[in-house]
Amino acid sequence: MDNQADVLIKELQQGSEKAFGLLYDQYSSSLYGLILKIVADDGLAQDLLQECFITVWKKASLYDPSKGSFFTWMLNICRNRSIDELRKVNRQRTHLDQIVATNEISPLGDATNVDAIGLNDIIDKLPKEQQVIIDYLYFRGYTQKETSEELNIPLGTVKTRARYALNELKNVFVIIVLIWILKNT
Amino acid sequence: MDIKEYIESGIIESYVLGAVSDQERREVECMSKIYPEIEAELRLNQASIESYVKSIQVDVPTGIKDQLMDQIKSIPQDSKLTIVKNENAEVKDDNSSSIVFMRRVAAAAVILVLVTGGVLITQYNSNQNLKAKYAELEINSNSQKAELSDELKGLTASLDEMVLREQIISSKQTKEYQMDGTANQPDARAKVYWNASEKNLLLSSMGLPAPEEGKQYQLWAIAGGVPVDLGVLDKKRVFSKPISVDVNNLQAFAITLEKDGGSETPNLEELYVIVNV
Repeated sequence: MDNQADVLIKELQQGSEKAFGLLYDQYSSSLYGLILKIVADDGLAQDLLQECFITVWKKASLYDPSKGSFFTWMLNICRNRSIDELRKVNRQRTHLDQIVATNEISPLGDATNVDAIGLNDIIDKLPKEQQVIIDYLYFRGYTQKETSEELNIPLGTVKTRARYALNELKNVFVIIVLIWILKNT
Repeated sequence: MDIKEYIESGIIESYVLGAVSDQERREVECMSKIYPEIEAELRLNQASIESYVKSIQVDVPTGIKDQLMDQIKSIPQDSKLTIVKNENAEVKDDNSSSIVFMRRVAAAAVILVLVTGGVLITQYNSNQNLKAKYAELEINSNSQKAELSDELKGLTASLDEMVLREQIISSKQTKEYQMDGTANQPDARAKVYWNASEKNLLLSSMGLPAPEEGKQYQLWAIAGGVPVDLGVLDKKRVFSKPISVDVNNLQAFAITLEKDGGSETPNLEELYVIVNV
């Protein structure tokens, strides 16, 4: 289905700056949204976005299609880098004072996101306990075990809630895509 | 392995949320390669995350793209050769020193392989040379062994002959006869040791001239007026083996020069030595 995307990736791997520019146009705002969500700092997020795109440029040949799409690969680069940075910042903060924000679960989606298909923050539609799990696992980079300890719930529950949350997301997206198709035809 | 149970365990969701240990990550990647159902579930979940991230996108301030496009002009792309197995490491570890290290390790490995290969080839070649030499020596030593063995056999036989000859010569029954040259061959000499009771003799032909090409001396006994063939003389030997002589009315011994292989009757023209017994 993504023949054009495949060609673009191949060109990038062969050192095409033009392909790099096109991929930037296509994915930068999504990746920026992700980084911003994790580090919650505009300046830092912009630095990280640049850093991650340079990683994408340098390591394009290492992309392995058998493990997922190119977009997922870029998401992982951005997420891992951002969480590393978040931990660094949190360590410094912990060092400076005892006020640690991690106990207080901030509602997700407080960034001013403008969603391409007209919805502000889909994750709001999920039950609260599932939102929390996604927050800890995906945006804070906790392991299941750490999440289970942090929230004081069994490990199995973390796994089930993660599963329900993603299933819910799937359903929501099906509806969103249907609405989007209806709007655009 | 119950695939349904595996899917329902929530591990795939945890995987796409990046909340699994390295071991679990490898497990999911491995399982998805084996079971198409697991791969499908994985792709679906990845797509969900992708869609979700798309939904929280934020416009990037202008200018960042230009900066990036400018930067990459001077940044070379890593070649495929530097692939590090652990993808997590390559994603998380942006510090290129590990890549440099891996390159050095790879270069060292290549050099090691080349050097080892060279040494092995040299060793193989010298091994082959040694094998060839050994085979040659073995052949030589075998033929030398055979030669020595033949020589030894010959010497043993000679010794036996000498003992026998000595027995014949020193026997009381043996008489020694000097064979003198005939008028045609006045310088020719030979000696016969004749043991009449044992009926055998020995011949020393040292005093005979070397025979012409294609000719050979032949020994005769004259008995009852008839020449009896006692065989041709070995060209190389001056001392014959013991010769058995089973005749009655022995009168004389004679040596003639005959054609190679000897004749049925003696050629009296070429009579060299003769002795009456």
